[in-house]
Amino acid sequence: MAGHKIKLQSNDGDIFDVEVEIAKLSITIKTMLEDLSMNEEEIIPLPNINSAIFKKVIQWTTHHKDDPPLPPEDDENREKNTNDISSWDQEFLKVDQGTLFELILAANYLDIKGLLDVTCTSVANMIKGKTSEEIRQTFNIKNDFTPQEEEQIKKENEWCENK
Amino acid sequence: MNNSIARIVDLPDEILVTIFKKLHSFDVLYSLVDVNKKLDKVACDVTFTRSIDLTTISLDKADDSRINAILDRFCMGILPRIQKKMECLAIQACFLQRVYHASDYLNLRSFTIVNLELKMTPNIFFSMSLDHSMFNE
Repeated sequence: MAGHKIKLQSNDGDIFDVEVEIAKLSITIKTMLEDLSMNEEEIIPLPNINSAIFKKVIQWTTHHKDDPPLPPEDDENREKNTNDISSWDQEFLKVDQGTLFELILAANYLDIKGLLDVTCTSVANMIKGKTSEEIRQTFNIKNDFTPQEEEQIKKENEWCENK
Repeated sequence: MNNSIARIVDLPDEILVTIFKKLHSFDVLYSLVDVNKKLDKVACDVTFTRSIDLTTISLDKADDSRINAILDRFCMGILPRIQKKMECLAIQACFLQRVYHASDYLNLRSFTIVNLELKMTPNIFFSMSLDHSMFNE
């Protein structure tokens, strides 16, 4: 099976020949091939991913194809360690924000846990320690609370300040 | 390389939760409450408001103006909004009075005080006993 390839098509029409073992790091593609009995000669469409992002996904999965599977997460007791991004991944994730968020969406759609984990960790690092105003500036977010809504929140908090 | 203009606010709530779970609840609330409606709503979800650990704000930095600004925002802007969802709270003893007076803690079931000097204990618990509303049980 090693070296055997399948064809995957991005939503902008590009077709990629990808080794089956690498493609199967995506649980979504693995399920298509195994459970849905898709013929490996067929072109598998990926309607949610464009070619630029899919190239990055293939780059990441190719580098990480021999990684051991990630252990299941215990959200309550898990150590909140956002510093454990390998130097290769740090270099890989030196991309603009749009690409980073597209990678997160692609990793989620393709169900690639390792890629989702490292991209989410990268965004968490961008959030950590910033004030709400710094978050708005970093991610170019508009404050969409109306003055009336802000006033309502202030009123709800006011009694505590005067307590 | 990519023509997309995906932004953090375009991510579905479940992915935002996945990202925020990589941070301590305190960091999520401090950085994301009030940013905009979407991020505020996800940050104030019970996932991040049930248990708050403020012990990383340490005693020896108590005079630092930045620490004071962080505590002010937390006590005045965040604690009152999440008080009904909060079940566990951990703080340094030096911030006890400030945090205690910030909210009613209607559903608090666990309260951890770190670095509490024994000589402070009778005064603190006498003061708290005057206001039974702090503890549900």
